[in-house]
Amino acid sequence: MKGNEFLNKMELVDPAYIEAADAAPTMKKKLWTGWRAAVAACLCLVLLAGTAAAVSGGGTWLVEIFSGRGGDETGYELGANIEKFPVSGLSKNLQMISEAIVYQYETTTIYSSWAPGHWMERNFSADEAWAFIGLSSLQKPDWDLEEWYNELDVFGDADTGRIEQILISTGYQVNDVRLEARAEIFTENFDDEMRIRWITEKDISFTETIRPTPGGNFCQIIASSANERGYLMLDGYLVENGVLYNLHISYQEQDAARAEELLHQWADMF
Amino acid sequence: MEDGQIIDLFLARDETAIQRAAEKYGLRLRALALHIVQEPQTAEECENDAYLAAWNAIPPHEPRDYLYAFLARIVRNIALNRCRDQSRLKRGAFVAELSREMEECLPAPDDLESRLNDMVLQEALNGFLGTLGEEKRNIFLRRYWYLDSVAEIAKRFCISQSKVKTTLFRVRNQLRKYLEKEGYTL
Repeated sequence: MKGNEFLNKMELVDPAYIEAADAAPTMKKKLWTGWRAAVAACLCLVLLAGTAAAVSGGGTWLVEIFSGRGGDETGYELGANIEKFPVSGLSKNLQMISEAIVYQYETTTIYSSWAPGHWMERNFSADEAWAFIGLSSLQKPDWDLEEWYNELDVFGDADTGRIEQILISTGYQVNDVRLEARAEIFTENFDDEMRIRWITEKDISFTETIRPTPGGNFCQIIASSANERGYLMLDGYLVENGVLYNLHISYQEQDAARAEELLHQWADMF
Repeated sequence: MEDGQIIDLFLARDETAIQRAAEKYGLRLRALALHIVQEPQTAEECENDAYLAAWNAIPPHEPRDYLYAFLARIVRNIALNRCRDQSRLKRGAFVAELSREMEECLPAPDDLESRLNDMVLQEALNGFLGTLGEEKRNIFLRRYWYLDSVAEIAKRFCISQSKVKTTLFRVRNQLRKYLEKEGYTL
């Protein structure tokens, strides 16, 4: 038996243990307080200062394209010089999600339909989602494509409800080409190092190009080779007014020209 | 509706069985799938596939007293397989990492001639878990049943990530020794 089979066999664990492991722990204490928090904050500042110096104009930069890392990991890693927006600059409706996040965590059970610290809504049009966020720096791409789906995700600290990250995703489908446009907003409460990671175990290679946009920005483009099912990926990344934007395209070889055209259309809106 | 009544609908090949199961357990199952695959659309697909799998499995199975656990196991397996098969989910590496960790628990990895059948393995696993303290057991299950990251576990139990890693390392070793001592070979 191998490790992956053993991982599957964990399904044999007694359901009573499974439910017990999902109950909220009774004891809580703060991890990062006092001097440790101060040291962590200083380290974050040093990291941010160091990475900001490496920005090449588009707000994102390539840290590494790797193959065979850890034995079988292939992928890439980007850094991004995002802005951390004050929560007070978001709409009142969005700020109230903070209470929902805390309530969800306080009442969490194994039967809950969300992960702690995560609020999600899908019954929005893109226009409604943008209005709901209420951030003036957020740019809505004016794209003449029919929306397939929209999703608004808000991530926060499960204990305090402090909002850390907002993600709005819009899906499109153009014949056999599938696209997802994302805008990610980070708040003053986000204290992790900003990294974009794409990791796979498949034998896929990646190439990077930079495309200047008419608005004076730069779009970082990562293209992949085909996976075993013949699908290729094309990702565009850029930061505009502190917000991270990404377009992910999945397509087959015969649609390569169309996929590239769509990516350029998207990038040229910035 | 009681689980037993839902099972009766399955046994009668009444398709409302799926509807009733979804009404009662759908949100919980989707949450479990979402936690594993981290992608809402795929989580919905996992949930729907689980109903189909349950439709095909009942009969012969009749999980009258553990319908949720029965469906949850199916969802977990489907979601794990999606993570392995779909690179776009970006979860394959995470599952591979967990698999490598689980391999440390095996006294004789990939020994095809000494595989345990599921009933014996179930007894071994639950016997071992019964020897652990509550926190250690819960940390172990959060990692290998719910597939939590080390950071998530640290946050959940208000302990440092290094303590989580140390605990997991020790429990994996304890499990391997337990299986060896009890004469189990995997």
